[in-house]
Amino acid sequence: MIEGAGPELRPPVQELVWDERTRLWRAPAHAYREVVLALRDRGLICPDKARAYDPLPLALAKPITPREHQVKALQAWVAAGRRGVVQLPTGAGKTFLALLAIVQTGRPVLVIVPTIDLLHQWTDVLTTHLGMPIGTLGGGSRDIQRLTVATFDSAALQIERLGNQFGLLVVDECHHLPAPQYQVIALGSIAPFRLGLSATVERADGKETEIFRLLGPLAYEGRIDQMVETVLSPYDVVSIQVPLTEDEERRYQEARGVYTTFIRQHRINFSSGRGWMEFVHLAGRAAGGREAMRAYREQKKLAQASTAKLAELWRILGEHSGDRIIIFTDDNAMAYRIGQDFVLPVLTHQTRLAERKRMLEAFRSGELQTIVTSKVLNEGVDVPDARVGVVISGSGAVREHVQRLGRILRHRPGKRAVLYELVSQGTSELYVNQRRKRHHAYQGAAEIQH
Amino acid sequence: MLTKELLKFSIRSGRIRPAFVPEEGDILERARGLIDLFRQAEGQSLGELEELLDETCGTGDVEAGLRKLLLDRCGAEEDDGSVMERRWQALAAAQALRLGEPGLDEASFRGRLAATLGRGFVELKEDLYADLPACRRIKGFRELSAVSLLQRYNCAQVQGLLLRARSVHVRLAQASLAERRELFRQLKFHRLIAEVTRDEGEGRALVVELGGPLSLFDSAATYGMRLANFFPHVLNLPRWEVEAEVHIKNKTVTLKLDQKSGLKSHYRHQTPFVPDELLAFVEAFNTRQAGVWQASPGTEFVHLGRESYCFPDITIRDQKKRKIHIELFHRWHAGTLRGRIQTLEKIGFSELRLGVSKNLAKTAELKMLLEESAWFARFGFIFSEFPTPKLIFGVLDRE
Repeated sequence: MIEGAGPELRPPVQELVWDERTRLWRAPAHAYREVVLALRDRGLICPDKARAYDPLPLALAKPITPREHQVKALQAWVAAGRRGVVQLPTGAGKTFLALLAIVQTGRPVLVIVPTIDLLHQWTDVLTTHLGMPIGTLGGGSRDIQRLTVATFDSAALQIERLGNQFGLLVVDECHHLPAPQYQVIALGSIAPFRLGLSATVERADGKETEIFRLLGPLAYEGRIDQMVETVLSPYDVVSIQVPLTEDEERRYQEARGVYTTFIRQHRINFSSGRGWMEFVHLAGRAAGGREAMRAYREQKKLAQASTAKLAELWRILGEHSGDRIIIFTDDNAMAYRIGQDFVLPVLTHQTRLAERKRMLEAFRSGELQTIVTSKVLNEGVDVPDARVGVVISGSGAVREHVQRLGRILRHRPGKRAVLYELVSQGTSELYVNQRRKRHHAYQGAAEIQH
Repeated sequence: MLTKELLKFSIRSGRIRPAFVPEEGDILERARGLIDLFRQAEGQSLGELEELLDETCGTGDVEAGLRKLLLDRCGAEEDDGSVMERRWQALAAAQALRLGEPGLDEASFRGRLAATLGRGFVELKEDLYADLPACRRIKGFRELSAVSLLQRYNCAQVQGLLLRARSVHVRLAQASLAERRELFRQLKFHRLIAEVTRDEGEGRALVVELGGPLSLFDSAATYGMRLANFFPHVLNLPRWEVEAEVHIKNKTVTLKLDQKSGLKSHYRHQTPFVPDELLAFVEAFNTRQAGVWQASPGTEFVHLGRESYCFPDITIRDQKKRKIHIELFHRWHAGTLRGRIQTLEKIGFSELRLGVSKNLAKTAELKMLLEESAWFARFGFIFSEFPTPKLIFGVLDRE
């Protein structure tokens, strides 16, 4: 709010709105920096009662030597006015980059993360390297310190009270931010300095523009293909096509027929970007829509969970006995099916926190050598030494594949990672697989077709 | 509350109309059937119940909404951790077997593992993740009647839209003094920002404009949730109209409803209450001060700038219609009192008198706060059980 100026004031900040009820100018918290700068430019001196923090001198208690790409990324972010997004592949040291930005900026910081696992990881890193108390908000904890790590969900609920206490907002895995329930975090924070981190900012719905609006522009982009050997482990992508059984093939064709007929009848165009939404909309209303939706699910399930895929998975597990392996599926049902059939640990959003922690510790220590997951390990969770990834099924989204790839690329001398992709022959999975390979993330790999 | 995909409505000419269901006929029968299934579900797993519902009930949109409301009323068993312990034993044994004999085929692996653990493989497999949410046993269901379920469904259709509202305009006619006070109490409880006026029409209905600081810029989920939770209180009033601007499907549309929509509140309709001592005070005060001051129970909001506002307990007018509001703080109001004193210190509002009960004023922290407040020294007072007319009269002329 700006006190002492009537409606005749037309400040040059677009987001200032005159509130007739209280007869005050108002701006959303995220416009704080623009408002302060604009008032200063116009020579209007207002006591600043919005900001409830002071500069905070910080120093590294445990020094780190930044790598070249981290130095460049930091310089680019500083040059952008300490507002912006840095895109780096998983394993390229985004957390350390943020640590350097936090120390250089010297303001109380609120770090936002999507999961409890990441909350613990960030807290550990900040505690170790800054040697001061780190607050946590989320997973049952509410300890607010000048350096605080919060989950998206908890921050969204509390930002109303915390928004003015931090000068730097760091949003890890910031591609989640455009979700309406999370935007409020960036909108409700006055932090003049903002850093977004992600392995892939690009979103299928094009809403990365929202991220740039809320956090600042894309300041630096580091690509997987340019970092292989130096920052990330070299790797192979092995695509294995497996056949459907006769029965699976018949059911697949039947279901596929129902689905594609409906698509053709209603002229749904999937290349427009809105095709899927149009299909969902029509499936709920048009004649034959429900059958088409059922058929779509059936053909997808058959392609993703074919008998031959499970047999191939068993072979891969035998071949890589002794390696640390992550198996990725598209949904929880398939993850649990594999877990039950092969007696493997399954980590999903349904896994309770304590067990999830135990499972990840066991995986790190080698007590467990294989983990099956649907989406949980797609991003963020620090799994240092996995060498083998097996993609049983997934969406067509490039982000998901880049993130999955990132799980196995953490650099270790002498390590060569391998990502297996199991694709059902003669199904739409093949097209999805080929389409995502156009992304530059795949250009750094040796590709082997089976 | 219903999720977005369970909201049913039509949009025409910029107006959104929720698709309410009747509380009778076929849908009532279907609601009864659903409740029967839930009533008998105790002991089943949530997954089994879902399967049973898929098989026996329609898959229509209304059923999906009713199922969601009923599932929210189910309690599920907490597992004792024994499944997890067995799981970790099995995982350790399976890994040891894989590492020890990497060439085993699937069938041999299963046989050897079952033998090691002393259980059949099928049993082992079924038990491995038996503690998943879908596998958890239902241990209770909060009963409700079929009519009540349909009423909740209809109300939830509106609440779901209000979650996406940018502004809400509520017009209340014929609300008694006690009903208005109750509504204000609920507004305050739900932390909603409101502007209350009276319209010029017949009966001078009360008009409540709801919208918060963030609603000026964007719809905020937390605010929407408060708004949605507040809405059933409006339904308890005799005559109401709600007009909301709702942002949905990339459009901004208008939702208009009134008491004729037949919506029923599932919040208990507590008989609105005006304390006896307040009524006794008003009567005694008006008898003593007849012709000079006129007291009445407080019925309006008083803006204190920014987002602050108060609902005075008593409003006193003189012959020139000058108003003095009295707000009373009892011993359970410590938090609100702290905030109120801070606000009044800043804005120096002189049309309010603030009474603090002795019990509250004697706590060490508040005692210091009140002693240090210049505003309270001028406009505040301490009372015992309830202020006397004499005490109030003594503070009216302070400036």
